[in-house]
Amino acid sequence: MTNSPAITQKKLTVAIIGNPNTGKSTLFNHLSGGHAHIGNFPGVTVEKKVGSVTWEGRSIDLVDLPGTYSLAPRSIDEMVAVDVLLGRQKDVPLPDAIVCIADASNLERNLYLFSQILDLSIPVVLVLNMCDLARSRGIEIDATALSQKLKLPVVCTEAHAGKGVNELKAEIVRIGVGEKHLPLSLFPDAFYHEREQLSEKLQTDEDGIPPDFLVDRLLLDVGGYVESYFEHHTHNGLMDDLRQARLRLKEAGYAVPAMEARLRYGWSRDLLKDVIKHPQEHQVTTSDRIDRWLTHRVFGFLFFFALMFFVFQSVFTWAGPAMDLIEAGQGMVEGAVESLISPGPLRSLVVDGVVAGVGGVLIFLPQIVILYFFIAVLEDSGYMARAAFIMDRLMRSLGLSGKSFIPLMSSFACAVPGIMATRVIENRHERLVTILVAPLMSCSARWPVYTLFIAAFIPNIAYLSLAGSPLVTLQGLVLFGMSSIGALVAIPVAWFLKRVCFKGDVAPFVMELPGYKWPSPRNVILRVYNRAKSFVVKAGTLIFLTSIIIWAAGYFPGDHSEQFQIQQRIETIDSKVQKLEVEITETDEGDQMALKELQAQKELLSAEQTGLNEQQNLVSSQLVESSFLGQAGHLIAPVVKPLGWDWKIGVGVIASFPAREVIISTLGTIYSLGGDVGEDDEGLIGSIRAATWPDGSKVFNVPVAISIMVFFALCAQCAATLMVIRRETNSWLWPVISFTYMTTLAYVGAFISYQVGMLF
Amino acid sequence: MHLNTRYIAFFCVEIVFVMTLNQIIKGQIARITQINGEDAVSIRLMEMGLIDGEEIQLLGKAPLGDPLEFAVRGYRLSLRLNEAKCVEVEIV
Repeated sequence: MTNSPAITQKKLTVAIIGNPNTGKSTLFNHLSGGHAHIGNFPGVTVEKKVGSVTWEGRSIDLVDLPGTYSLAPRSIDEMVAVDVLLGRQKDVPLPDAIVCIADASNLERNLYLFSQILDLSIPVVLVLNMCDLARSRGIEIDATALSQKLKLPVVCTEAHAGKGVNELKAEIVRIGVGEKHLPLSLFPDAFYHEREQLSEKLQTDEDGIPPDFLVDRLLLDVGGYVESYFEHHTHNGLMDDLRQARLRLKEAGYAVPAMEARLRYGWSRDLLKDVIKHPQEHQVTTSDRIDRWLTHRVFGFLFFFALMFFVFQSVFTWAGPAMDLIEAGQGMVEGAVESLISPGPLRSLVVDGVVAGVGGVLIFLPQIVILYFFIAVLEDSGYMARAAFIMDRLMRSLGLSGKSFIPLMSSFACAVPGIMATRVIENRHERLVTILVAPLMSCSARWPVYTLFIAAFIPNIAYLSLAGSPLVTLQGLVLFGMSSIGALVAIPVAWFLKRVCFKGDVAPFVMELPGYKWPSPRNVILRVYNRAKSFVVKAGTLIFLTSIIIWAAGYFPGDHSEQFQIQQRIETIDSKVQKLEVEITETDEGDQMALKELQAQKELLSAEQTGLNEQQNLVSSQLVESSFLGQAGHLIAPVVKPLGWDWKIGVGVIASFPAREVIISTLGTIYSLGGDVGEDDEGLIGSIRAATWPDGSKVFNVPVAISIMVFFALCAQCAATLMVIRRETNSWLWPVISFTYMTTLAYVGAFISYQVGMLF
Repeated sequence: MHLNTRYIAFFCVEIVFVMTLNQIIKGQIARITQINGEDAVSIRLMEMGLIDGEEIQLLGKAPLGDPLEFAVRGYRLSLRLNEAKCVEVEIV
């Protein structure tokens, strides 16, 4: 086995391509065994999925390309597929074979892409996926006859059930070492003549002769990406040559661009003539009947909003127990670390920096998992396309399309999965606008901030009551207002970005509505798992780093020895108290004297502990004030003064850069309570209410509380979101723009809230 | 004056006879006669199989009346009214 010659054979690279909704990712998951590396293609926003497998002793790299209807690229993202197939994409070798996946129930249109792939003359296997669905619709396909006509292997699969996958694997290995076939050459001689002439003209450039396929694209795609690429990279006058070539073709009766579609569709119709049997035309399918209800004028909307409500409700209710569990786990880890490491910089780093920071992000994992579960189910079942269809008209008034709705909706739970969900938007500009406004949606991390300040400053007045329980309260209204402010601000922002920054780019809404089907559990689980994993890894590593940085800024350069001594003493007393408690329970109830003695001892210790706690809080707050973070707070004090904030709030805002919730614990530390406070902590509410300026006047009042809430509703205080923006756009530019514009908005919003609030 | 009227009449006849895909009613089947333009939308429509001679049926509309759902070449395609305007059809 070890001496098998197969091991020494060259590694095969196999590209997988197909129309959207053909079950491509399900099949890819089957072929790769679920072990795919996911990343971005360098320089573009397109996802790069590579799965390494070994079949029959051959190691194979499977490269999954984005779903596409055609190989005519219109953007740098669409160019990725062409570049990979031509071996022009860096770090992906020229494919030895291509697997083209087609929807068997929709073969005629799917063969359009296939016919373009044939022109590449790379060994190719045609996969007819969803054969069961085609059969149930009364479509009969003679795969053997098709294979003979094409002189190429054709495999029937049912990816969701794993049928036909082994045959496909065998076929892939076989064609990977097979001979190349000739290109299809559907076009008239006049076209190839023009191509030759153009090729010759392009030859003089440093890139050498471009592949025939690219020159084809140059000629055929009017206003396409290849045209603009060559326009920038070649000799002057290319556009004139091109215009004349197209004119000559038109005069010969082969007008571009209609020629390509006409010839290719003519070819696929001829090919399928004796191969496929359709039921009578214009048949009403089950999907059509479901659609009459789900896209109905009234029921369609009702169902859509009921579904969205259900998803949201589930995200919050189902996630609750799991979030409590993570919180408890975080507490346990902190406890374990405290019992292992004595007070000192290391313990502070682990507990206050790492555990607190990473735990603060991990807590959102259950929500993300549940949300992604729903998104995967909706996408796999075919409803997501209908959601885009239903919402398109409304979203268009913002300059976006229906496809932006789901990502924006997801962002209400957390912007991180929301931004990842923008991958369904093919148009680059539309996707960027959606990514830029998604963080404005009021995510769950803003709730702690809202609840704290509402509980502290907004009076609990009931406006409407039912049987003694209040229905509409002022606190509730403020909470609702804060949760919707971001979405309201997103409307003009999206409008501005679309009309001013990304002008003149109206994306068409030409989209297939796939037939409804039951989602594949395997596919759903794998997708949820991959998303959850990438959330934990990518967001986790970044939060880990920023937490340490913020921790260090709040820790140094102060002298912490006094703090540690106090901490040590508190813990000694703690263990003494615990010992006493054990003794109290063990003491015989009849022995009143001993019991009293023990209780008196305990009370004495408790009093001492309370005193020490107060002292510790004072020392902590002094240390924070003298730290780099505190110095920064004093530095920005004049900047935040117009918002009604003192330097302590300024520090809270700086420290909450990694995640908004951090402001609660930072305020707790600075207002001398120690970092261990929750948003409903009476102590924190009390000390915030009592805080004064040096002249004795109160720091906090209703306008200040509103100004802080508005700031947090609009700001970009979330490192994980900014990191995901960086990853999804593959550029630092967009996170920087997001942070800048959102911070500006937040500042202006807070300024207006405070200044207007102070007038009353 | 006489020439002018004839010119106008000619123009009107043109308008009456050219029907586009956004004008057909639910359930109606139309045959594509031509797609106008060389822009991205027209190319995309042709790639999706909207070629002259092909039959297309309007299945329904989104709740707000736009986009539209069509059956063409055995699959379901959604287009906005604006995009459907690029497709010239005749009723079968």
